[in-house]
Amino acid sequence: MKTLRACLLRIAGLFSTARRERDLSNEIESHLQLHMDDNLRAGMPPELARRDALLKLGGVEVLKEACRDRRSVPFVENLLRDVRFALRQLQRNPGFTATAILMLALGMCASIAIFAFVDAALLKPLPYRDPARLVSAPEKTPTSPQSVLSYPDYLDWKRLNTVFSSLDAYQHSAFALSTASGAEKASGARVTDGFFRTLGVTPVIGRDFHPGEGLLQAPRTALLSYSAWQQRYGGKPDVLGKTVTLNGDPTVIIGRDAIEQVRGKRSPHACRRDEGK
Amino acid sequence: MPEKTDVWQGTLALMVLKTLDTLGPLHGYGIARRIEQTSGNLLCLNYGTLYPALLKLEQEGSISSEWGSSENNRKAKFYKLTRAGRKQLEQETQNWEQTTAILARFLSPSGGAA
Repeated sequence: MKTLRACLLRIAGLFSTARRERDLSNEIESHLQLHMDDNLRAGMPPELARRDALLKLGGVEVLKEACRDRRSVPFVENLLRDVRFALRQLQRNPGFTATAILMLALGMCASIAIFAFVDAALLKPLPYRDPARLVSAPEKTPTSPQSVLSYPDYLDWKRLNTVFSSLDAYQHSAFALSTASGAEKASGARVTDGFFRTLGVTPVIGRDFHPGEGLLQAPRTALLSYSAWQQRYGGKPDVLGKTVTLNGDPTVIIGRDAIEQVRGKRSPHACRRDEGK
Repeated sequence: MPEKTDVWQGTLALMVLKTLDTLGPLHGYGIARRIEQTSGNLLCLNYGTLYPALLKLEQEGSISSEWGSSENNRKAKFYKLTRAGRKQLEQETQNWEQTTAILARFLSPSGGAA
């Protein structure tokens, strides 16, 4: 308790230093005065009286320094003085200051960019259920290490699969979206009907693709990404059941995927099932 | 050297508290003279060491200070024992008496071996 009180007072001692300094000077002066009075009364000559008082006190500056150290936190006080000195130096050399700040800024930007990438790609888990059990299985050919899988091959893989609990395919692609003002490019992905179930995410609104909805003869359906939902439909929930024309095919919007909300990452504009293509 | 001052400051604080307890509010110079006189001038007190000790005691709340006038009308800062200071004095006096009693037993002619 006592120590805490002393600590707080010493921190307070960092402020209003001028007043405390004056107080200290006055106190020392009064001490010398009292001592001199005594010496004079004892019959000392005036100049000797002051000298004796000073000697007995043991150096005014040393005493002041000891009191200053006791009064506040010398470490912090020195630190503040150093910071002020550094700022003054920087002010005197604007060219050097600008260069130093620029260098630091560049360094920080580079580090932050690299960290942001590493964080997104390696550190944060994927926003799917059980991301440790998700794997990507591309086809490897002598000419390409990651080749595009053909639909019949996908069907074969699915039929012969004994390793994975589920297997689904996706392909990033751009669609021609027919709008009132003409065709627009909409980026998205074609996915098989179990794609979201395999990832372990459910649509935020609407429904997932039903099994069998991926077949060629079934009507086309699509799930919107968050950004497509916001940009093209103003985030309104009544998009469900609307029809959009993608690559000339009327496609019914059945929901909005959950991927982008979990993570600020850009996800396909429209996820569209049509395995047969 | 620092160890020596530490011990010295510890006993100095006790002397200051006792002086203020006996004489009531007093300025730094008065405390210094009183300590010297009480010690029978055997103690060579550097008056300068007194002020940091006073500052420490004040920060810890054992004493409080106020500007006033001395008996011969000089402006001086007077120190006064607080309630917490009186309690501290009691406790430190007890501690000190115990320490000296133990040491006395060791140093007495029959002590140590017994």
